[in-house]
Amino acid sequence: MTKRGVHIALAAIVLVGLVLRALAVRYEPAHHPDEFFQYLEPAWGRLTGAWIETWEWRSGVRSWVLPGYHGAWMAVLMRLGVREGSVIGRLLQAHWALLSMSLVWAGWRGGILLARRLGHNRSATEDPGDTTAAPIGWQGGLAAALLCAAFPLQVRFSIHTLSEQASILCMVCALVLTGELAGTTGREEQGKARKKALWMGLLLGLGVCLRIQHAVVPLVVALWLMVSRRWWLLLIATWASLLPVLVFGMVDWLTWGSFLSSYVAYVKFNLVEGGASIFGTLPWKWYADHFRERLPTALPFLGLLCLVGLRATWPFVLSAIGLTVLLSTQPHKEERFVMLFWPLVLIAAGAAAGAWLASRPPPAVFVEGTPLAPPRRLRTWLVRAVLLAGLAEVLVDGARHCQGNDFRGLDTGRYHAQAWAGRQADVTGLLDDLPLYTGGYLWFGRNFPQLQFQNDRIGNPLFNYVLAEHDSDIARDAKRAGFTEVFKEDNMVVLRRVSALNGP
Amino acid sequence: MKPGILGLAVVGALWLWGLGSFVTASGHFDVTLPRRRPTPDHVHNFSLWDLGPTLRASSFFGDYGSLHHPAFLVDGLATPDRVQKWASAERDRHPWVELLWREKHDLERVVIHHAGAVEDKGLTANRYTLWCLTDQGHGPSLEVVENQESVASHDLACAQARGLHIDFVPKDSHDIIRVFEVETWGK
Repeated sequence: MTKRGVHIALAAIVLVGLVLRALAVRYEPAHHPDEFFQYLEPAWGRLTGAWIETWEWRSGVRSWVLPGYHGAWMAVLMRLGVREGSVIGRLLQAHWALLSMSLVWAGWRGGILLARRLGHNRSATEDPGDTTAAPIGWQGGLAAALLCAAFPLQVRFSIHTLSEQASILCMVCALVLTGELAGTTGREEQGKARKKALWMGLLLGLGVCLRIQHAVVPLVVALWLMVSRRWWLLLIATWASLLPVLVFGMVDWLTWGSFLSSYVAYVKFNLVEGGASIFGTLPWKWYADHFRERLPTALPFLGLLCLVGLRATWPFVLSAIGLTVLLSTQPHKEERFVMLFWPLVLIAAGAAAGAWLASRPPPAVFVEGTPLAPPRRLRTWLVRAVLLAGLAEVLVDGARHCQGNDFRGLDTGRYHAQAWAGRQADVTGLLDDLPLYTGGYLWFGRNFPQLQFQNDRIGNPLFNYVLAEHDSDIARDAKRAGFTEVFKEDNMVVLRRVSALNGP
Repeated sequence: MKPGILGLAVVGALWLWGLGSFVTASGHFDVTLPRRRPTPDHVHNFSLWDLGPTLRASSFFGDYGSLHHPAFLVDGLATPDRVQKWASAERDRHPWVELLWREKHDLERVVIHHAGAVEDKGLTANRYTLWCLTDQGHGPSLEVVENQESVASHDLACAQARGLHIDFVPKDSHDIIRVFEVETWGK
């Protein structure tokens, strides 16, 4: 294939990735209450004075960096006239979906890099005799980019405003940069390598600060650079990685009163004291079982590809397995914690598949008087067909089994209903059935009280709207108290007070 | 400069501006209730919710299970359940609330339903200062230093008042202020 053809194919993959992410922004339900209450709601509260403050924020176990990042965009959007909280929330989800396209870049670069190392001519990057020829390893690049762009679970996760998402992008890009650094040769390349090492270190530091459980990746990066004897680059990256740590530490000092205090409190609560266990515990092999549930038929294919390409893909595979093992030791488990596993494995498998797709049959030698050689060309094409079918199966199997989130019951209808109630001109208060399953003050968008429904609270004249499941006890109680249904989506209804109270 | 780098620089500058706005935001709460009835001519509580007051507060205690919202100060329910009161946030060392009215009023008396009216009497705020707000700024004030009343009535005469500001002094670094209702009486 020509260079132009590969670029067109890559552009098509990018387009597919963008379209799928746009669909995710439109249809993907909430994954976990944390994506609102830990990373958006505090920022909204800082700007409007109204927010649901969870125990983590009262206890100082969260850093203000990610809410600050979101808060800056919120301030810009509010200045531009976007005042509705749910719209701002949606735009921030779309922004993360867009940023997650960096995984396609990582897939392309990482896939090419690893496929080259698995191929016959490891050091060559382009066919020297043909300037229009595609870069060597392009098959791996395209395969990995396609998997990163279209793997359904990855696409779904891309919109969620969770620290895992931000850290994943940092870690995967850093690992790809490390791969490029490990293969640098010559003085000119080494000059560029120092810049890359700087970026790589910054990304690793940022990734760990955002999600400390991802610290497995920097360890593998260090190992990779040591094995490649890139001592200077390792040193540069190490120093660079300290900058985000310094920034996060200073933010903690300014907001919570001491350097890195939220990290100390977080590690103490979650990892030392095992406090997260109060949110539920699962058996140690839960993550492994969960991977099988997500890809029941295609997981062995991915595993086989990773295994076959292990001599080149080991840093990606080791990072993925290391993360899984580390998280498996923790009693409290959630799928979002281990989402980094997928892009690492997809890039490794895509690269290995690409290397195989690139392999050519040796030329047939015809010897007079002997029978024709077996159809080697046919065998090669069969292998290619199986590989392409396997890659397609990863996407199909992934799509068939990608439903469900960590937190059940987070109905899209409830968020839409809450936002609808917030848009009503006469609203002065909202009683809802499950406050933790709403979008807090950001989604409500108004500074009026919101409380969980109780029959005696309906006597408070401020509460003139009720959010509940259709045909539920709450909806019936509200109707008896003079409310009537004014909005319905899915199984959720909003009721408005139509008959005045008898007075306080 | 390459267009890509220029675009990134613009986005970065926008974000930095937003960060500046975020960092310098006061974090204070305010809300204006819609007006539901005209102001009566006789002596009345002109902070009541249906007269459409504006509420401002330094903070509020915002746990999703027990949200102590400032609007509960004017809901007309002096003794509801323990949740429907205003409570300051745990880290708020200088709690205050402010009630602003749609018209000027001749303020005569302020009644505060403290925590002790519904909860433990020890939770009642002892030290606070009432400030009458006028078009010219702060008007007459009243400093309360040893309040023991669960329902405290304070005479505060203030003509042409626009609002009332109350500064509370927490008892210690862990204290939060809890108030169920604030009434402002006059014409």
